[in-house]
Amino acid sequence: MNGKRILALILGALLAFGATGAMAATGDAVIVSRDTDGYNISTAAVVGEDIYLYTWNAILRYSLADGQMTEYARASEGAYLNHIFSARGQLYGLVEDWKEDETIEAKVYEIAMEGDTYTLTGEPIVLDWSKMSGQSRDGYMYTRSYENILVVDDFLYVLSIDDSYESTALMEFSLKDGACRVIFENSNIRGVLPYKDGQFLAVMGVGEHFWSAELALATFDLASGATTKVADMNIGSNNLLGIAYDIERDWLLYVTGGQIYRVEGLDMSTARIVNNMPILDSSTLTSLGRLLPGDRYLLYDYENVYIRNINPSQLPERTLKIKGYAEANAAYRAFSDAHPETSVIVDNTYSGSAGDDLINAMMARDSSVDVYLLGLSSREYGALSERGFLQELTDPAIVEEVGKLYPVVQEALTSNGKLVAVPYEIRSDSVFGYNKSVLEKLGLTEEQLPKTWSQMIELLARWGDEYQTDFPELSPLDPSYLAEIRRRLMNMILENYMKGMDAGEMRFDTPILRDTLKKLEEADFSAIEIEESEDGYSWDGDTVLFTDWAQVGLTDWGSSSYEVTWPLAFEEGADASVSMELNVMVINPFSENKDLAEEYLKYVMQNMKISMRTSLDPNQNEPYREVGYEVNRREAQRYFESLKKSRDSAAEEDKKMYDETIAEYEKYLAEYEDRWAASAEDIANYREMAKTLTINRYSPMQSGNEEIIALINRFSDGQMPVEGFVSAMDQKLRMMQMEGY
Amino acid sequence: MFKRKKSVVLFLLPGLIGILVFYLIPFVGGVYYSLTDGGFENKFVGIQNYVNIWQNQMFTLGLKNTMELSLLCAPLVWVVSFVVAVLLSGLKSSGGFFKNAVLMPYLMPTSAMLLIWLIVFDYGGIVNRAVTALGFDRVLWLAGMPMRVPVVVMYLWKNLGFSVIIYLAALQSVPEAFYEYARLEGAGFFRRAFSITLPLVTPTAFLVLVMAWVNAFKIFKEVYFIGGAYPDPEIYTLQNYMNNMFSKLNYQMVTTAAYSFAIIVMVIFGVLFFVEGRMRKGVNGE
Repeated sequence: MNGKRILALILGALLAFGATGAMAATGDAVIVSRDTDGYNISTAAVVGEDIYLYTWNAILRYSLADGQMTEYARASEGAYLNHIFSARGQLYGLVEDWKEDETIEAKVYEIAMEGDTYTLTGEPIVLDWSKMSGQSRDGYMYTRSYENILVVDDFLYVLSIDDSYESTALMEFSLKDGACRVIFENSNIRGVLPYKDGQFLAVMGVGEHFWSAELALATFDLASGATTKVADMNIGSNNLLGIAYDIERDWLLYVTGGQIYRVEGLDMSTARIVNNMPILDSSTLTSLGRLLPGDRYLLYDYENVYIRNINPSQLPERTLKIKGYAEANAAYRAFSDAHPETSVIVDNTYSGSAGDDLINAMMARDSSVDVYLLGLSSREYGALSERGFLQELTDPAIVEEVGKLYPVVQEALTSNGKLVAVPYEIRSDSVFGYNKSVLEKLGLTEEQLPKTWSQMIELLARWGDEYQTDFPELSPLDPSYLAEIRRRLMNMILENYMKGMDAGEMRFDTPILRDTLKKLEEADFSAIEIEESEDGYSWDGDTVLFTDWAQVGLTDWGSSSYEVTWPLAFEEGADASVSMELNVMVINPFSENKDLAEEYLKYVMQNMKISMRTSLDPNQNEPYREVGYEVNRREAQRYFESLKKSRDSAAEEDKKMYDETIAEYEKYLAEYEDRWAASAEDIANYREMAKTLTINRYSPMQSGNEEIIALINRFSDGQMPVEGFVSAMDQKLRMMQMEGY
Repeated sequence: MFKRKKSVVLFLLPGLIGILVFYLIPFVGGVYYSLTDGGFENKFVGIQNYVNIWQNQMFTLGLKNTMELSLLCAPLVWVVSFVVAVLLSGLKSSGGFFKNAVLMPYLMPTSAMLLIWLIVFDYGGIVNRAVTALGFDRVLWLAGMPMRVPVVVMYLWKNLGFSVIIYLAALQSVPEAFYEYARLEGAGFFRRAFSITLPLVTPTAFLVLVMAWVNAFKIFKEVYFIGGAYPDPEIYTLQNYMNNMFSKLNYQMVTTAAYSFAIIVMVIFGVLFFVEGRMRKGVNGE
């Protein structure tokens, strides 16, 4: 053996054994991510070394052996599935069919993959679905929802839940004859798993209230129905996800606080962390985690599918802990790929209120969290900023990226002149929007629409006389608003007035606010009378002129095709101010991983969602498609092709019907090519509105403040005149200012 | 003897540890907080927080209002409860019912009774009807300076019973023989009251005054339920200030306000104890 070979062997041995401890756990992967792949995950099933994922449009097969993903499209119109599951080493699909008598029939089919499509094969097993129907308190019929789908031997088990979440039943369906048996009903049950000796392992909520209950483990005997409590889990019911049980090794796995725990012999004192898991949605509890060959574990939510190694000896050396509802987005994945030596833990659990937790942690100089995700307008961010508890960000890449954003955004990210935060999520406040078709029906043009709050009040006051007779079916606002129109308008006016205003300079006794409120006080809205239907007032997009939930910002899914955003100003000729809510990431100044945390924030800046980057960066003007556009377009194209094939083989008398459908679909596909989440025109409109963009900051005079609500109610109820209202508001504001923020 | 003393310390130890852990350490910790800036470096700022808070208009407004309200409430409870106790002690058969009745408000949650008091003091409520019946204009009781009236009345209604019970216990512990002897000597009602009753209930009266005052310093719920966190400036109390600072997560100002107030209270009660000591000496003829 020559020297080179010996060296190669040594290197190989080092790579195989020596270096694993320093790297990310082997086998960790995000195999599907909606924001890059465009898929929405419905259900997953494991057959041998293959993971099957149902995405509504297709079935994806991920091979654990070679890491390859294959997409199988629907082969025909009839192959829509509700769930997939595995049994007897075979993939099955559950299909719910609405029958003519409005009952639902559930069938189980074998699924076969042929070429690049999947088909439902063989004679289906028809499940007795009658017990899945329920009657609500109001008398209407509904179908119980079901989760926690699992198969033991020849039986399919589901946890079915009634419409009020008061009754959860474990149901058993025979996969031979479809017979149904309700094993038990218990409103406290949150999840079940197959356990040893013909028993199930159940996670139960202990406590009166569903979401505040603590969780406990219990065994449930299928034969006798006896439930035996095994252990308290000491976990709040909305903090537990993805339970899984390994019968052979007697291991229970679950996720809480962004980490996967492994418990041996159902003894909770043996709980140890085996890896991270950045899924936040607690409803995933009943989606169950899946154990995979080779000490791996699978958990998914609607958007992401994760595989994690559960061998603790392969845990990465370093950890970076993020506190808050931080989804595992592109930044998370890019950082994890670039830093395999670091396990990123996303913890969304709180013992008390997030704000109090945070301040207490800061007072105690707690270093356990590295990065916090906070609302920029939250009380806790305000408190941290004022006390200087925010680590300055100096990484040149972050500084450069932030420098590209609107100046008002840059300013919002600084505290005492230092850059301390990076934007993570953006949400525009709701403003008025008008419906184009209703405007046309009324014979109005955009120029005739109100541009100020006062003009809006005038229009609403005139509505009864000017439009009621000719257009009795049309309403200026959502009819359900009309009963308390004054209060609604008052809330919106004040909110709009306060948003973006510096708390130190705020005043309510101003001519502009006084005049607007005077108009509101004097306006008589009683002439607006909308015909009430039998079901009471209901909002109908074709009959309501204004909505108050139009979005200013750019989104992932595009703007409404029938609604035009129409924010109002306070003065004629002035631009309407629009505001945005920003969630930001900041670094704990007591963190021991500040370098790593800042590195993570760099990835956050560099991997910003396109909708957010376009909203915040005035130079980002490229139109962009909606998330999943390619997947949807591909599916639509496939469906179109299948329609054409069906037409060719259809009977002569059906061909005309097919031709019409094909023509319609062709038009739809052509329109789809022009579909943008944000077109060049959308972006240009947004840029125009963003001239008055403000970012919401913390102010004790926020509209949710109880003091303000009480005053608004008194004003709206006519108990307080405008003068009294504005002076009371100013008095409270002055007291707050004098106290000091 | 020496061994016995040691064992006493041993028996006291659990209690002393409790006092150390739950009172002394938090007390000292609070003092420390009040001397720091509460920022990232938590710099020691000496008495700067105290200087700042005494320059804060809302703190001084709250302190002034709290003092004024306590000066109204504490003597009222002190005197009225004594009168009620004397009247009740004279009742023989139905005394138990009245004693229970007078204690009842003390046991009831303020929030539960607030609505009734708001109705009573409403602009068109019973009180204003009585006011107009007497030929006066109606008063907006739930705003501005008049709002102090319902606050004081609610405080009185709430705290009277407890003081009455303490007074009653003291009155009933005065030996009947003293009064009989005095009567035989020709002492009238006032002579008996000033020479027997008052000297003998003085320690209790002092206790009632101290407790009434302590409770009056803590007037908050009544104000908060009526006026919220920022009521009219006329009834904004020190508790409002501390509560608002706490909700803004400004622990430094909460502790500074608390200790500033504690110092004032200690001075007031120091004077009270001094006066009480002198009075007791006078009564005992020392």
